[in-house]
Amino acid sequence: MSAHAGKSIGHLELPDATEDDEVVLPGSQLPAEGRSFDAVLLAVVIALVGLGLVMVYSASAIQNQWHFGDGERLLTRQASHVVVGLCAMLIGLRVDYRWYRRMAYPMMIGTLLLLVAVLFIGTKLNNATRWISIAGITFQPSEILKLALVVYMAYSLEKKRHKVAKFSIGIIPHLMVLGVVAFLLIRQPDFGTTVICSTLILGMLFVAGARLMYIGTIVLFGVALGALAVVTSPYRLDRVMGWLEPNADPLGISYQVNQSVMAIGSGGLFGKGLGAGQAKLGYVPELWNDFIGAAIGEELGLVGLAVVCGLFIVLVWRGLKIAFGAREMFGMYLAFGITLVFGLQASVNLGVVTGLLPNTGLTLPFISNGGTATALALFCVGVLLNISMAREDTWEAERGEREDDAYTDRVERKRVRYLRRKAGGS
Amino acid sequence: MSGLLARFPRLRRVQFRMSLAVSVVFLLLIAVIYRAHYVHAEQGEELVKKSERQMNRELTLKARRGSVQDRNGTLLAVSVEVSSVYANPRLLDDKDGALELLAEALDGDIDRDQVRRRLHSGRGFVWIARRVSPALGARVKKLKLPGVGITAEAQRFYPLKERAGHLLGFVGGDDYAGLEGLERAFDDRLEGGEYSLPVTTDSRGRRMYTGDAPEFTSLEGQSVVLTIDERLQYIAETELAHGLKRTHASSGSVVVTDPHTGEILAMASGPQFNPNLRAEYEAVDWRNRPVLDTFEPGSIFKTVTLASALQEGSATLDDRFDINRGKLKIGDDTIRDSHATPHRWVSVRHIIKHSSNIGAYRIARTQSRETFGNYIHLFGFGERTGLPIPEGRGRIRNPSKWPEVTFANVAFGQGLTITNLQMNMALGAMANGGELMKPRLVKEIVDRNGETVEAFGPEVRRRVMSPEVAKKTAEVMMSVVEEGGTGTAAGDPHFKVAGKTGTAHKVDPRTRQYSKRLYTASFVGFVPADNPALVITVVVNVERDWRGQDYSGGTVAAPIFARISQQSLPLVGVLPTSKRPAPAADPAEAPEKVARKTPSTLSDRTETPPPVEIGISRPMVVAADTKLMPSYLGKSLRESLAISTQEGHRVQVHGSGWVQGQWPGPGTVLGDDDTVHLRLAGRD
Repeated sequence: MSAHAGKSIGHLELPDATEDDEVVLPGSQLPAEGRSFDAVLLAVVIALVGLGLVMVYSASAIQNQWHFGDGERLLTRQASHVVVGLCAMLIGLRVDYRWYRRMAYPMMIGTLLLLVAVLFIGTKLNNATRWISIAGITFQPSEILKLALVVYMAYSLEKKRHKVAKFSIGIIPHLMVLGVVAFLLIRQPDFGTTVICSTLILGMLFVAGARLMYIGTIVLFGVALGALAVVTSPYRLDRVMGWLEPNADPLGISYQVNQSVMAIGSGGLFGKGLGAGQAKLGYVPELWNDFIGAAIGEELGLVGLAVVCGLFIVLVWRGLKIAFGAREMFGMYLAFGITLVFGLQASVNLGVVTGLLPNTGLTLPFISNGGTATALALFCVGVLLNISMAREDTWEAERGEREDDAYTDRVERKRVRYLRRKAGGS
Repeated sequence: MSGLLARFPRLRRVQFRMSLAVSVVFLLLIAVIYRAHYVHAEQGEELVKKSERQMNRELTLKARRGSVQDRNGTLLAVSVEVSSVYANPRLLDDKDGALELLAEALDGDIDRDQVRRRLHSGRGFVWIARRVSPALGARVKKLKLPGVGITAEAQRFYPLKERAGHLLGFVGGDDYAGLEGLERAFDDRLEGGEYSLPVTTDSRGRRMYTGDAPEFTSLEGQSVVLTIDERLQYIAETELAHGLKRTHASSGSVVVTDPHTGEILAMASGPQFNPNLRAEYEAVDWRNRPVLDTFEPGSIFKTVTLASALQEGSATLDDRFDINRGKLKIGDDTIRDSHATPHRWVSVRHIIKHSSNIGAYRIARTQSRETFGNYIHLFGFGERTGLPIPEGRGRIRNPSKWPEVTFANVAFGQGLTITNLQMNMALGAMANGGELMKPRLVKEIVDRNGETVEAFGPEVRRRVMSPEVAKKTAEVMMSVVEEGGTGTAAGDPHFKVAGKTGTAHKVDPRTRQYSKRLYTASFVGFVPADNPALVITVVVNVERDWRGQDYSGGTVAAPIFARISQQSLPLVGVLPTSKRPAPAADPAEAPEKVARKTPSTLSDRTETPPPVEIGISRPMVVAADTKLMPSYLGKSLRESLAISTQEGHRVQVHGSGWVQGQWPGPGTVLGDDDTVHLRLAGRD
């Protein structure tokens, strides 16, 4: 490794790189003010959110009119979620992402506490206890968990650097976190989020350099455990069987997916036209939620669905680019983690909707109706945008100056007090 | 950058692995696009159809079913419009509250648990109650519940209650398919076309309409016009029921046909069956006995034995046969006549008149068993007569394998089984000059405007004997009802009757041996004997419960025959005339031949005003709280039926539209069970 020592790039003299050394990222070579944020990413996200609002309205209007006499009920709700989310995005954009380093443990612990709490005081809906209500605000701890996990993993992996390859340092602690998280999620039960979180943790360990053998072994164990979770829970078994045998029980467990595939198939190339779908008449339950993809496929056709997939591909691509351009490993891991969660959720959700994957109950980011999910997703976009600017960490850079100032201030205060005492004494 | 990566392999590895992980996501998203394309391209058309079908699935209803009418247009089975209540549960916020309201409006006549389950099923369309009275439907409509609608559906109604119930069968199931009898046999013709209601949400999500169904008369099913004459059917049924009651017999059947055309004018089973109240009956109660019950005919079969020997020329009416004083040993078996007799050599006429079993055997024995067996088949036994409804075939063993005692048994009608209708048709051949007719039950099929779609004419199956043989057979049969014969009870003061009694032993299904309790008492014949207009076959199943109970054909069946023939003849235009000489020596000169201008069809009656009251034998008791006939004038069919149900009397409907005339007229004093004839017209 030392063969490359002392090589210079441009005007920079680079130190030797060894396994022990801090990795110097390309982003760190930027001037202190960094660059402007990723406008492409922002445009993609705004397009997705806009499409989401339109589709949520189209999918829910009739049933809300029937049940509540207010067809715009869900639209206004989701719009307010988007407004909250945009504010959160602004905060994410303004707050230096490195500040989350110190939030890693508090967030993780707080979220775990919430996950425990939700099992006791959570609101039950559709046979799952996933929501918690505090002071009139209802939210989903498992959504927060995804962000907390990304921050925690990014912080932990950066701290451990190359030692991630060591089993006791790289694997054991994260595996413990994974175990606790999976246990709490399965109790809700929220199988979909469990799969996402497990994939996230293992994926981040993988990119950070964990040995493939370890990860492979864990995946095998995970699959075995997952299979156990499937066969021991009738509803999950039904879901898997419904996926494997869609015609065995077309009005039962396969109903939702069958109807969704029917909606997409009957939509054709360009769809039946916005608002003209019939899935919304109650044929596809939870159309505005997990199955918003069916509404898109039916009303906007194959083209609409392809555009959504394309937008997510661009989003993931920009996310990866931001990760690569980050100033240090924490930013890189953080950007990658957030991107991975978006990408996984989008692809798994759309896979379910088109009948490729068994039903997991995951929502489509930015598009599906949902308060916590939308607000947090937009906040994460803000964080991504912040990372994309790759500014110098002014807090760290000015540490010496700040400490000097603090010292001067302290000495000055002491001096003043001393002088006062002296004057008083005389 | 590449230089940097080269210098920092760890960074390169991280970036490589990140790209790898992200590629998986890319691949998944591309797979989604491919899958959506596949679903659209491979299954698109099918899925479009499927989704459309799903939108309309529950909304398909059938248009009104066609009617079944007798030969004069009297409605035997008719569909009337009633209300069905449906709901879209997604529009009902308070499902249980709505259920309570609906249950109250429908007089609690719904299965609450079932309806509750339906309301909570999450479907977009469920039935609340089907085929309720229009009045209840109107009450539901008045509730004005959003998401609850009323549609008109047709309900099957048999206005004459038991009349021809066994023959008509019934419909059932939600779609009212024919399940038994004519309703089943002609289901294809009777059933109405399917139509969809523009109710519940359409693809653009408009809310469901709660209005009535559209006019669907153009899809109405075709109607079946029978050869049955309701008045003769009434006579046959009431007299059979009366006879069963009088003799304490368990069941029976009657067939009345026109020998010249093979038209079935009446086909009755007893006890009676009212298809309106189907739920109160069991399968045995709606068995159409004249064609489904097979039985050992007994002595009535001697007519076939005689005709075959005469036709074969092996015996003549002048021959005399040795009846061996009523007891004859054949191998180990002994056959007996019903009564010991001092005679040995007797005439053919004597054998038939006194129903000698040994005599019948002697007559049959003049032919080979194969020839006799051939005649039996020629007369139509052992094969279906060709009706459109299910029939029994009967069973005749292979004649060449008959042992001698079986030959003897068959000669007097034991050891083979037949149906009532087969016997009737065979007699028809003797009555019409020797031609075996195919029985006709359906005259024509008409569309909703009364235009004939398909008509069925008389059909001769084959000639089975010469007219002379037929005449001779009839002549011998006339002696049966004459003084000293076994069937005197079937006699008629005005007309000569040719007939034959039968008292057959039945095999007890449990012991598989001839029972001393179970008999088939029968009387078959035709009137007037010299120029037959009606062939009437009466078969009664007797389970003897005490020693004195009548069980012979002469005492059980013959009186039923007499009452049916006496009441029916005037209705087919055979009237006793004072000019008529009592015994016509030569039938060719009989004046009634002139009186019956159109012997083969009864079309001259279709013009007659509402049929006359014919319940001659029914005693009319005027109770203290005398009932008066209400006025039906100007009412619709539905209203009329409602009134009649309330008043508890029968309705005979002629025509369609609104009531233009009724008989008896309004205000007439009524008995408890009386029939009102309504003439309907004015339908556009």
